[in-house]
Amino acid sequence: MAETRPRDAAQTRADILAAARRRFAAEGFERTTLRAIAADVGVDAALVIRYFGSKQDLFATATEFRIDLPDLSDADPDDIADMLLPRYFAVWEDDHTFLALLRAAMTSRVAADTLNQTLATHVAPTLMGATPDNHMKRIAVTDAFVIGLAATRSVLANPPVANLTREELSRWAAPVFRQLLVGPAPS
Amino acid sequence: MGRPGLSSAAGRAGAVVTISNGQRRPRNASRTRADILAAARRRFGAEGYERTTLRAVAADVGVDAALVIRYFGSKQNLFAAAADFTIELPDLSGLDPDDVANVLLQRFFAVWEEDETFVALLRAAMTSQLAAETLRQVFAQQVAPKLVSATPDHPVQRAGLTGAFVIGLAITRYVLVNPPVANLSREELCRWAAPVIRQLLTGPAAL
Repeated sequence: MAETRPRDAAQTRADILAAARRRFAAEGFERTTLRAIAADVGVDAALVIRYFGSKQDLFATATEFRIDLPDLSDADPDDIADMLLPRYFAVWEDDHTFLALLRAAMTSRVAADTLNQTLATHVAPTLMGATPDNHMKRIAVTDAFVIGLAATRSVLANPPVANLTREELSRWAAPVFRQLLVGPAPS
Repeated sequence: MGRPGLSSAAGRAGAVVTISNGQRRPRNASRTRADILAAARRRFGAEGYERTTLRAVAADVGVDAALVIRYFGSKQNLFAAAADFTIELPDLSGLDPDDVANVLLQRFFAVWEEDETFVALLRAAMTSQLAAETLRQVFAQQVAPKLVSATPDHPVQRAGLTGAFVIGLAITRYVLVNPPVANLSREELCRWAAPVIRQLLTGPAAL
């Protein structure tokens, strides 16, 4: 069925990745099958394997999300939250990749390691541009705060946090970012 | 028994399982209920809500799935019973803001490290609407009222954001086991988290 329709390889790859993100987000890593993803796109599972390799490889590619954090090395401490939060909102709320990864990471070691790796390689180096000391401790607690906001707002949908506008959330989060990243180190 | 290659230790373990397996052992009903609940928490905790089966929970305890259904009804009811726990938060009203953070963080470690129920609920809530609703209820009924008593204004927002921070600590430390968070000692985590809790609960309001 799939083969009779003329297909553009790049479009097919993109369709497979989109279907994989939906499946991984809805069902987690373990329960998602290559066969189901292939069926969503109307191709054969063998084609998915040819393009992406194993399920784990497909997961890694599908959940590889870009987070473009700005250079913080010369930022005014008061501006850091305003510089970071729009980028974080873009990742949580406008891009399904991160939520797929977060959900999958709750019940899969493979997915959790992927998320930890992403934080280490894509987020930590940028935050380190702002931190004056205790870099890993500051970044650790900042990451925990950000993941807590994302989970509470976009996955758990807890009303007190989910109902905040982005502007309200930014105003409440700003002093926390400031304290964690550049505030005085607690004695 | 008698399978070639089994060590005597494995043979003994097998015999123990046989003895504890099923209806032949006289069972105390309340003990069995408690065992089923403990097994359900472990399963929901490790695998989330959707992937957990009554059959697997029953097998963990060495009983029949029909017995689990007789005791608890559906999987949904078993989940509700397994996730029905109480967070004993102390009265925070009248405490010094610095003490509020420390009191909460001590409870945080007790709840998350000594009771696997909460990790079970969190894992399940991130992957199931039903479990998410249970978690929202626990927050609204047990956590928020205590937090609110420590806030000078904006009680709903302050309690909600404090809850979000605590959930984030729990996810990164106990579920993701994110090394930078998981490697912090309790004391280090308290030192860095306390100013955040103090700011969110009692610091200057964001206007």
